[in-house]
Amino acid sequence: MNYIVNLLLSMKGGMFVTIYIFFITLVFSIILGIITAMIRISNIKIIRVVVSFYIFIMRGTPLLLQIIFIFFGLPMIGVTFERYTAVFIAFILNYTAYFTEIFRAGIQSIDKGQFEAAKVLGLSKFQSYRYIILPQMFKNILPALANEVITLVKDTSLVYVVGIADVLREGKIAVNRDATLLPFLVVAMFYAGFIYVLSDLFKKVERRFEYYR
Amino acid sequence: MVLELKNVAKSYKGKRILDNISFEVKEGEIVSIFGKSGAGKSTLLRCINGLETIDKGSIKINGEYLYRQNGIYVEVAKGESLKKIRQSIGLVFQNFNLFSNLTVLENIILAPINVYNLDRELAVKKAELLLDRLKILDKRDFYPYELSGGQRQRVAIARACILSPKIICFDEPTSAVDDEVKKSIAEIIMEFKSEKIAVLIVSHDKEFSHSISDRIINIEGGKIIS
Repeated sequence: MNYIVNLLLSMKGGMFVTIYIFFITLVFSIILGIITAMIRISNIKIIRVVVSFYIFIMRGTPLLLQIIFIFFGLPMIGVTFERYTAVFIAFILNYTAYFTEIFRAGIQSIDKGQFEAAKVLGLSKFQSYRYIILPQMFKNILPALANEVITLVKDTSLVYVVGIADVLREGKIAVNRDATLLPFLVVAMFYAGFIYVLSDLFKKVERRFEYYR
Repeated sequence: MVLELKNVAKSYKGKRILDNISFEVKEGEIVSIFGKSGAGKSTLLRCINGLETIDKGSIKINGEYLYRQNGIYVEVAKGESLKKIRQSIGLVFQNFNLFSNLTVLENIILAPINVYNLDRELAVKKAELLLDRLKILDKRDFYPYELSGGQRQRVAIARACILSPKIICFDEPTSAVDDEVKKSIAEIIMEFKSEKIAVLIVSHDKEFSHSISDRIINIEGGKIIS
Protein backbone atom coordinates (compact mmCIF):
# COMPACT_ATOMS: atom_id res chain seq x y z
CA MET A 1 0.00 0.00 0.00
CA ASN A 2 2.83 2.31 0.98
CA TYR A 3 4.44 1.55 -2.34
CA ILE A 4 1.33 2.58 -4.28
CA VAL A 5 1.01 5.81 -2.29
CA ASN A 6 4.65 6.63 -2.96
CA LEU A 7 4.16 5.71 -6.60
CA LEU A 8 1.17 8.02 -6.93
CA LEU A 9 3.11 10.83 -5.29
CA SER A 10 6.06 10.35 -7.62
CA MET A 11 3.69 10.33 -10.65
CA LYS A 12 1.59 13.32 -9.72
CA GLY A 13 3.67 15.63 -11.92
CA GLY A 14 2.99 13.36 -14.90
CA MET A 15 -0.71 13.25 -14.10
CA PHE A 16 -0.80 17.03 -14.04
CA VAL A 17 0.96 17.17 -17.43
CA THR A 18 -1.57 14.78 -18.96
CA ILE A 19 -4.51 16.76 -17.59
CA TYR A 20 -2.90 20.04 -18.64
CA ILE A 21 -2.36 18.92 -22.25
CA PHE A 22 -5.89 17.51 -22.34
CA PHE A 23 -7.61 20.70 -21.14
CA ILE A 24 -5.62 23.16 -23.22
CA THR A 25 -6.20 21.07 -26.35
CA LEU A 26 -9.89 20.63 -25.58
CA VAL A 27 -10.64 24.30 -24.94
CA PHE A 28 -8.77 25.62 -27.99
CA SER A 29 -9.89 22.95 -30.42
CA ILE A 30 -13.55 23.28 -29.47
CA ILE A 31 -13.47 27.05 -29.98
CA LEU A 32 -11.51 26.76 -33.23
CA GLY A 33 -13.65 23.78 -34.33
CA ILE A 34 -16.84 25.85 -34.08
CA ILE A 35 -15.29 28.69 -36.06
CA THR A 36 -13.87 26.36 -38.71
CA ALA A 37 -17.17 24.47 -39.00
CA MET A 38 -18.95 27.75 -39.72
CA ILE A 39 -16.32 28.56 -42.34
CA ARG A 40 -16.58 25.05 -43.79
CA ILE A 41 -20.28 25.51 -44.54
CA SER A 42 -19.85 29.02 -45.94
CA ASN A 43 -20.78 29.83 -49.51
CA ILE A 44 -17.25 30.83 -50.51
CA LYS A 45 -15.88 27.90 -52.46
CA ILE A 46 -12.18 28.69 -52.10
CA ILE A 47 -12.47 28.84 -48.29
CA ARG A 48 -14.42 25.58 -48.27
CA VAL A 49 -11.73 23.90 -50.37
CA VAL A 50 -8.89 25.15 -48.14
CA VAL A 51 -10.64 23.98 -44.96
CA SER A 52 -11.50 20.61 -46.53
CA PHE A 53 -7.85 20.13 -47.50
CA TYR A 54 -6.69 20.98 -43.97
CA ILE A 55 -9.17 18.49 -42.50
CA PHE A 56 -8.07 15.83 -44.97
CA ILE A 57 -4.40 16.24 -44.03
CA MET A 58 -5.10 16.26 -40.28
CA ARG A 59 -7.36 13.23 -40.37
CA GLY A 60 -5.38 11.43 -43.03
CA THR A 61 -2.08 11.34 -41.16
CA PRO A 62 -1.30 10.02 -37.67
CA LEU A 63 -1.15 12.51 -34.80
CA LEU A 64 2.20 11.00 -33.81
CA LEU A 65 3.62 11.89 -37.23
CA GLN A 66 2.26 15.42 -36.93
CA ILE A 67 3.96 15.90 -33.56
CA ILE A 68 7.25 14.56 -34.98
CA PHE A 69 6.94 16.78 -38.05
CA ILE A 70 6.34 19.95 -36.02
CA PHE A 71 9.00 19.28 -33.37
CA PHE A 72 11.73 17.53 -35.39
CA GLY A 73 10.83 18.35 -39.01
CA LEU A 74 10.17 22.08 -38.99
CA PRO A 75 13.57 23.00 -37.42
CA MET A 76 15.13 21.73 -40.68
CA ILE A 77 13.59 24.74 -42.43
CA GLY A 78 14.45 27.04 -39.56
CA VAL A 79 11.15 26.93 -37.65
CA THR A 80 11.80 25.82 -34.10
CA PHE A 81 9.29 25.31 -31.32
CA GLU A 82 9.75 24.54 -27.66
CA ARG A 83 8.45 20.99 -26.96
CA TYR A 84 5.21 22.02 -25.22
CA THR A 85 4.44 24.54 -27.96
CA ALA A 86 5.05 21.90 -30.63
CA VAL A 87 2.77 19.45 -28.85
CA PHE A 88 -0.01 22.02 -28.43
CA ILE A 89 0.21 23.06 -32.08
CA ALA A 90 -0.04 19.45 -33.24
CA PHE A 91 -2.82 18.48 -30.83
CA ILE A 92 -4.91 21.59 -31.40
CA LEU A 93 -4.56 21.42 -35.20
CA ASN A 94 -5.44 17.72 -35.19
CA TYR A 95 -8.38 17.89 -32.81
CA THR A 96 -9.76 21.07 -34.40
CA ALA A 97 -10.06 19.08 -37.64
CA TYR A 98 -12.04 16.29 -35.94
CA PHE A 99 -14.24 18.71 -33.99
CA THR A 100 -14.87 20.73 -37.16
CA GLU A 101 -16.39 17.69 -38.82
CA ILE A 102 -18.51 16.89 -35.76
CA PHE A 103 -19.75 20.49 -35.48
CA ARG A 104 -20.36 20.77 -39.22
CA ALA A 105 -22.53 17.66 -39.17
CA GLY A 106 -24.30 19.04 -36.08
CA ILE A 107 -25.03 22.40 -37.69
CA GLN A 108 -26.20 20.78 -40.93
CA SER A 109 -28.53 18.46 -39.02
CA ILE A 110 -30.53 21.45 -37.79
CA ASP A 111 -33.73 22.13 -39.69
CA LYS A 112 -33.37 24.88 -42.32
CA GLY A 113 -36.52 26.46 -40.91
CA GLN A 114 -34.69 27.43 -37.72
CA PHE A 115 -32.19 29.51 -39.72
CA GLU A 116 -35.01 31.05 -41.76
CA ALA A 117 -37.10 31.93 -38.71
CA ALA A 118 -34.05 33.63 -37.18
CA LYS A 119 -33.48 35.54 -40.40
CA VAL A 120 -37.02 36.88 -40.77
CA LEU A 121 -36.96 37.99 -37.14
CA GLY A 122 -33.90 40.09 -37.96
CA LEU A 123 -31.34 38.16 -35.91
CA SER A 124 -27.78 38.55 -37.13
CA LYS A 125 -25.78 35.48 -38.05
CA PHE A 126 -23.91 35.71 -34.76
CA GLN A 127 -27.15 35.99 -32.76
CA SER A 128 -28.72 33.07 -34.68
CA TYR A 129 -25.76 30.87 -33.84
CA ARG A 130 -25.56 32.02 -30.23
CA TYR A 131 -29.22 31.64 -29.27
CA ILE A 132 -30.55 29.00 -31.65
CA ILE A 133 -28.07 27.01 -33.71
CA LEU A 134 -25.24 26.25 -31.29
CA PRO A 135 -27.45 25.18 -28.35
CA GLN A 136 -29.36 22.84 -30.66
CA MET A 137 -26.16 21.63 -32.29
CA PHE A 138 -24.55 20.73 -28.95
CA LYS A 139 -27.52 18.60 -28.01
CA ASN A 140 -27.24 16.69 -31.30
CA ILE A 141 -23.50 16.12 -31.22
CA LEU A 142 -22.92 15.27 -27.55
CA PRO A 143 -22.41 11.50 -28.09
CA ALA A 144 -19.91 12.07 -30.93
CA LEU A 145 -18.17 14.79 -28.95
CA ALA A 146 -17.88 12.50 -25.90
CA ASN A 147 -16.18 9.83 -28.04
CA GLU A 148 -13.65 12.30 -29.38
CA VAL A 149 -12.90 13.74 -25.96
CA ILE A 150 -12.25 10.25 -24.59
CA THR A 151 -9.88 9.56 -27.49
CA LEU A 152 -8.07 12.80 -26.67
CA VAL A 153 -7.38 11.61 -23.11
CA LYS A 154 -5.64 8.53 -24.47
CA ASP A 155 -3.86 10.42 -27.26
CA THR A 156 -2.10 12.64 -24.73
CA SER A 157 0.24 9.67 -24.14
CA LEU A 158 1.81 10.40 -27.56
CA VAL A 159 3.74 13.32 -26.09
CA TYR A 160 6.40 10.85 -24.95
CA VAL A 161 7.88 11.16 -28.45
CA VAL A 162 9.20 14.65 -27.72
CA GLY A 163 10.34 13.74 -24.21
CA ILE A 164 7.52 15.31 -22.20
CA ALA A 165 7.07 13.54 -18.88
CA ASP A 166 3.39 12.67 -18.88
CA VAL A 167 1.83 10.03 -16.65
CA LEU A 168 2.68 7.13 -18.98
CA ARG A 169 6.32 8.14 -19.25
CA GLU A 170 6.59 8.46 -15.47
CA GLY A 171 4.97 5.05 -15.13
CA LYS A 172 7.52 3.57 -17.51
CA ILE A 173 10.35 5.14 -15.51
CA ALA A 174 8.91 3.60 -12.33
CA VAL A 175 8.62 0.17 -14.02
CA ASN A 176 12.28 0.28 -15.03
CA ARG A 177 13.37 1.59 -11.65
CA ASP A 178 11.38 -0.80 -9.45
CA ALA A 179 11.34 -3.84 -11.75
CA THR A 180 7.57 -4.34 -11.37
CA LEU A 181 4.60 -3.86 -13.67
CA LEU A 182 2.49 -2.33 -10.92
CA PRO A 183 3.13 1.28 -12.09
CA PHE A 184 1.52 0.40 -15.42
CA LEU A 185 -1.56 -0.77 -13.55
CA VAL A 186 -1.65 2.55 -11.69
CA VAL A 187 -1.31 4.42 -14.99
CA ALA A 188 -4.15 2.36 -16.50
CA MET A 189 -6.31 3.13 -13.48
CA PHE A 190 -5.53 6.82 -13.83
CA TYR A 191 -6.65 6.86 -17.50
CA ALA A 192 -9.73 4.75 -16.76
CA GLY A 193 -10.65 6.95 -13.77
CA PHE A 194 -10.20 10.13 -15.80
CA ILE A 195 -12.38 8.74 -18.60
CA TYR A 196 -14.99 7.56 -16.11
CA VAL A 197 -15.27 11.09 -14.69
CA LEU A 198 -15.58 12.56 -18.21
CA SER A 199 -18.17 9.98 -19.31
CA ASP A 200 -20.20 10.72 -16.20
CA LEU A 201 -19.95 14.43 -16.91
CA PHE A 202 -21.17 13.93 -20.48
CA LYS A 203 -24.11 11.85 -19.23
CA LYS A 204 -25.05 14.68 -16.88
CA VAL A 205 -24.76 17.25 -19.68
CA GLU A 206 -26.92 15.04 -21.95
CA ARG A 207 -29.54 14.86 -19.21
CA ARG A 208 -29.44 18.65 -18.87
CA PHE A 209 -30.22 18.97 -22.57
CA GLU A 210 -33.25 16.70 -22.24
CA TYR A 211 -35.50 19.63 -21.34
CA TYR A 212 -36.53 20.00 -25.00
CA ARG A 213 -36.87 17.86 -28.07
CA MET B 1 -49.50 51.00 -49.30
CA VAL B 2 -47.88 48.55 -46.93
CA LEU B 3 -46.69 46.24 -49.69
CA GLU B 4 -45.87 47.05 -53.30
CA LEU B 5 -44.50 44.60 -55.84
CA LYS B 6 -43.46 45.80 -59.27
CA ASN B 7 -42.51 43.49 -62.13
CA VAL B 8 -41.00 40.87 -59.83
CA ALA B 9 -39.33 38.01 -61.67
CA LYS B 10 -37.33 35.05 -60.52
CA SER B 11 -35.83 32.06 -62.27
CA TYR B 12 -34.23 28.95 -60.88
CA LYS B 13 -32.03 26.67 -62.96
CA GLY B 14 -33.33 28.29 -66.12
CA LYS B 15 -36.97 27.87 -65.14
CA ARG B 16 -39.18 30.92 -64.57
CA ILE B 17 -40.68 30.65 -61.09
CA LEU B 18 -42.12 34.18 -60.91
CA ASP B 19 -42.99 36.12 -64.01
CA ASN B 20 -43.62 39.86 -63.92
CA ILE B 21 -45.59 39.92 -60.68
CA SER B 22 -47.05 43.28 -59.65
CA PHE B 23 -49.61 44.00 -56.96
CA GLU B 24 -50.19 46.14 -53.89
CA VAL B 25 -51.63 45.58 -50.46
CA LYS B 26 -53.29 48.39 -48.53
CA GLU B 27 -53.38 48.97 -44.78
CA GLY B 28 -55.84 46.57 -43.10
CA GLU B 29 -56.47 44.65 -46.31
CA ILE B 30 -56.64 40.87 -46.39
CA VAL B 31 -55.20 39.48 -49.60
CA SER B 32 -54.91 35.83 -50.52
CA ILE B 33 -52.55 34.43 -53.07
CA PHE B 34 -54.23 31.38 -54.42
CA GLY B 35 -52.79 28.74 -56.69
CA LYS B 36 -52.02 25.09 -57.10
CA SER B 37 -48.87 23.45 -55.74
CA GLY B 38 -45.85 24.60 -57.73
CA ALA B 39 -47.59 27.75 -58.97
CA GLY B 40 -44.92 29.92 -57.33
CA LYS B 41 -46.97 31.30 -54.45
CA SER B 42 -44.66 30.09 -51.66
CA THR B 43 -41.60 31.39 -53.54
CA LEU B 44 -43.36 34.73 -53.86
CA LEU B 45 -43.98 34.83 -50.11
CA ARG B 46 -40.35 33.90 -49.45
CA CYS B 47 -39.19 36.74 -51.73
CA ILE B 48 -41.45 39.21 -49.93
CA ASN B 49 -39.86 38.15 -46.65
CA GLY B 50 -36.30 38.34 -47.96
CA LEU B 51 -35.69 34.59 -47.82
CA GLU B 52 -35.12 34.44 -51.58
CA THR B 53 -33.58 36.99 -53.87
CA ILE B 54 -35.30 38.20 -57.02
CA ASP B 55 -33.81 38.63 -60.50
CA LYS B 56 -35.86 41.63 -61.56
CA GLY B 57 -38.31 44.15 -60.18
CA SER B 58 -38.91 45.86 -56.86
CA ILE B 59 -40.49 45.00 -53.54
CA LYS B 60 -41.39 47.83 -51.20
CA ILE B 61 -42.57 47.25 -47.64
CA ASN B 62 -44.06 50.09 -45.64
CA GLY B 63 -42.23 52.66 -47.75
CA GLU B 64 -38.81 50.96 -47.68
CA TYR B 65 -37.36 49.04 -50.57
CA LEU B 66 -36.45 45.45 -49.79
CA TYR B 67 -35.46 44.96 -53.43
CA ARG B 68 -35.09 47.82 -55.86
CA GLN B 69 -34.47 47.63 -59.59
CA ASN B 70 -31.57 49.92 -60.43
CA GLY B 71 -30.68 49.62 -64.11
CA ILE B 72 -29.87 45.98 -64.72
CA TYR B 73 -29.17 45.31 -61.04
CA VAL B 74 -31.50 44.63 -58.14
CA GLU B 75 -30.36 46.38 -54.95
CA VAL B 76 -31.04 44.63 -51.65
CA ALA B 77 -31.85 46.48 -48.43
CA LYS B 78 -29.16 46.39 -45.77
CA GLY B 79 -28.47 47.68 -42.26
CA GLU B 80 -31.02 50.00 -40.67
CA SER B 81 -33.30 49.92 -43.70
CA LEU B 82 -33.49 46.11 -43.57
CA LYS B 83 -34.09 46.28 -39.82
CA LYS B 84 -37.03 48.65 -40.39
CA ILE B 85 -38.45 46.32 -43.02
CA ARG B 86 -38.13 43.29 -40.74
CA GLN B 87 -40.00 45.21 -38.07
CA SER B 88 -42.81 46.06 -40.51
CA ILE B 89 -43.44 42.53 -41.72
CA GLY B 90 -44.14 39.30 -39.86
CA LEU B 91 -44.22 35.78 -41.23
CA VAL B 92 -46.01 32.73 -39.88
CA PHE B 93 -44.36 29.72 -41.49
CA GLN B 94 -46.35 26.75 -42.66
CA ASN B 95 -44.67 24.50 -40.10
CA PHE B 96 -44.24 27.42 -37.66
CA ASN B 97 -40.46 27.01 -37.21
CA LEU B 98 -40.55 27.75 -33.51
CA PHE B 99 -37.13 27.58 -31.88
CA SER B 100 -37.19 24.17 -30.23
CA ASN B 101 -34.63 25.04 -27.53
CA LEU B 102 -36.60 28.05 -26.29
CA THR B 103 -39.85 28.29 -24.34
CA VAL B 104 -42.94 29.93 -25.77
CA LEU B 105 -42.11 33.20 -24.04
CA GLU B 106 -38.44 33.10 -25.08
CA ASN B 107 -39.46 32.44 -28.68
CA ILE B 108 -41.54 35.59 -28.67
CA ILE B 109 -39.19 37.97 -26.87
CA LEU B 110 -35.89 36.87 -28.43
CA ALA B 111 -35.93 39.30 -31.36
CA PRO B 112 -37.50 42.31 -29.58
CA ILE B 113 -34.80 42.19 -26.89
CA ASN B 114 -31.77 41.26 -28.95
CA VAL B 115 -32.49 42.92 -32.28
CA TYR B 116 -34.67 45.89 -31.37
CA ASN B 117 -33.24 46.53 -27.89
CA LEU B 118 -36.62 46.47 -26.22
CA ASP B 119 -36.48 46.43 -22.42
CA ARG B 120 -36.92 42.83 -21.21
CA GLU B 121 -39.72 43.66 -18.78
CA LEU B 122 -41.63 45.52 -21.46
CA ALA B 123 -41.09 42.71 -23.97
CA VAL B 124 -42.36 40.13 -21.46
CA LYS B 125 -45.42 42.28 -20.71
CA LYS B 126 -46.19 42.66 -24.43
CA ALA B 127 -45.71 38.94 -25.02
CA GLU B 128 -47.98 38.03 -22.13
CA LEU B 129 -50.71 40.33 -23.43
CA LEU B 130 -50.46 38.71 -26.83
CA LEU B 131 -50.49 35.20 -25.38
CA ASP B 132 -53.52 36.11 -23.31
CA ARG B 133 -55.31 37.41 -26.40
CA LEU B 134 -54.45 34.23 -28.24
CA LYS B 135 -55.67 32.18 -25.24
CA ILE B 136 -52.36 30.42 -24.56
CA LEU B 137 -50.97 32.42 -21.66
CA ASP B 138 -50.92 29.24 -19.55
CA LYS B 139 -48.40 27.78 -22.05
CA ARG B 140 -45.91 30.62 -21.56
CA ASP B 141 -43.16 28.42 -20.10
CA PHE B 142 -43.78 25.36 -22.27
CA TYR B 143 -41.40 24.16 -24.96
CA PRO B 144 -42.74 23.84 -28.53
CA TYR B 145 -42.74 20.02 -28.41
CA GLU B 146 -45.20 20.16 -25.52
CA LEU B 147 -47.81 22.05 -27.57
CA SER B 148 -50.46 20.95 -30.04
CA GLY B 149 -50.31 22.09 -33.68
CA GLY B 150 -52.91 24.79 -33.11
CA GLN B 151 -51.09 26.11 -30.04
CA ARG B 152 -47.79 26.18 -31.92
CA GLN B 153 -49.41 28.19 -34.66
CA ARG B 154 -50.65 30.72 -32.11
CA VAL B 155 -47.13 31.05 -30.69
CA ALA B 156 -45.83 31.61 -34.23
CA ILE B 157 -48.48 34.30 -34.71
CA ALA B 158 -47.52 35.96 -31.41
CA ARG B 159 -43.84 35.87 -32.43
CA ALA B 160 -44.65 37.40 -35.81
CA CYS B 161 -46.68 40.26 -34.41
CA ILE B 162 -44.91 41.24 -31.18
CA LEU B 163 -43.18 44.13 -32.96
CA SER B 164 -46.52 45.50 -34.23
CA PRO B 165 -45.88 44.91 -37.93
CA LYS B 166 -47.88 46.60 -40.68
CA ILE B 167 -48.35 43.35 -42.54
CA ILE B 168 -48.42 39.71 -41.47
CA CYS B 169 -47.87 36.89 -43.94
CA PHE B 170 -49.26 33.40 -43.50
CA ASP B 171 -47.88 30.46 -45.44
CA GLU B 172 -50.62 27.84 -45.81
CA PRO B 173 -52.24 28.60 -42.44
CA THR B 174 -54.93 25.95 -42.80
CA SER B 175 -52.83 23.02 -43.94
CA ALA B 176 -53.17 20.11 -41.51
CA VAL B 177 -55.54 21.82 -39.07
CA ASP B 178 -59.09 20.86 -38.17
CA ASP B 179 -62.16 23.04 -38.70
CA GLU B 180 -62.09 24.35 -35.15
CA VAL B 181 -58.51 25.66 -35.52
CA LYS B 182 -59.36 27.02 -38.97
CA LYS B 183 -62.18 29.02 -37.44
CA SER B 184 -59.94 30.47 -34.76
CA ILE B 185 -57.28 31.43 -37.35
CA ALA B 186 -59.98 33.27 -39.29
CA GLU B 187 -60.98 35.12 -36.12
CA ILE B 188 -57.37 36.13 -35.40
CA ILE B 189 -56.94 37.37 -38.97
CA MET B 190 -60.13 39.43 -38.74
CA GLU B 191 -58.81 40.97 -35.52
CA PHE B 192 -55.67 42.05 -37.40
CA LYS B 193 -57.85 43.68 -40.00
CA SER B 194 -59.73 45.63 -37.36
CA GLU B 195 -56.38 46.91 -36.11
CA LYS B 196 -55.45 48.06 -39.63
CA ILE B 197 -52.80 45.38 -40.00
CA ALA B 198 -52.67 43.98 -43.52
CA VAL B 199 -52.65 40.23 -43.96
CA LEU B 200 -51.18 38.33 -46.89
CA ILE B 201 -52.17 34.68 -47.07
CA VAL B 202 -50.69 32.05 -49.33
CA SER B 203 -53.04 29.12 -49.57
CA HIS B 204 -54.43 26.42 -51.76
CA ASP B 205 -57.50 26.18 -49.53
CA LYS B 206 -60.08 27.81 -51.82
CA GLU B 207 -62.88 27.89 -49.29
CA PHE B 208 -60.76 29.53 -46.59
CA SER B 209 -59.20 32.07 -48.99
CA HIS B 210 -62.57 33.11 -50.38
CA SER B 211 -64.30 33.33 -47.04
CA ILE B 212 -61.75 35.59 -45.40
CA SER B 213 -60.10 37.74 -48.08
CA ASP B 214 -60.92 41.18 -49.41
CA ARG B 215 -59.11 40.25 -52.60
CA ILE B 216 -57.74 37.10 -54.16
CA ILE B 217 -54.75 36.96 -56.47
CA ASN B 218 -54.68 33.82 -58.59
CA ILE B 219 -51.27 32.55 -59.64
CA GLU B 220 -50.46 29.94 -62.22
CA GLY B 221 -47.05 29.08 -63.64
CA GLY B 222 -45.53 32.04 -61.77
CA LYS B 223 -47.92 34.55 -63.37
CA ILE B 224 -50.86 36.43 -61.98
CA ILE B 225 -53.83 35.23 -64.01
CA SER B 226 -56.55 37.17 -62.23
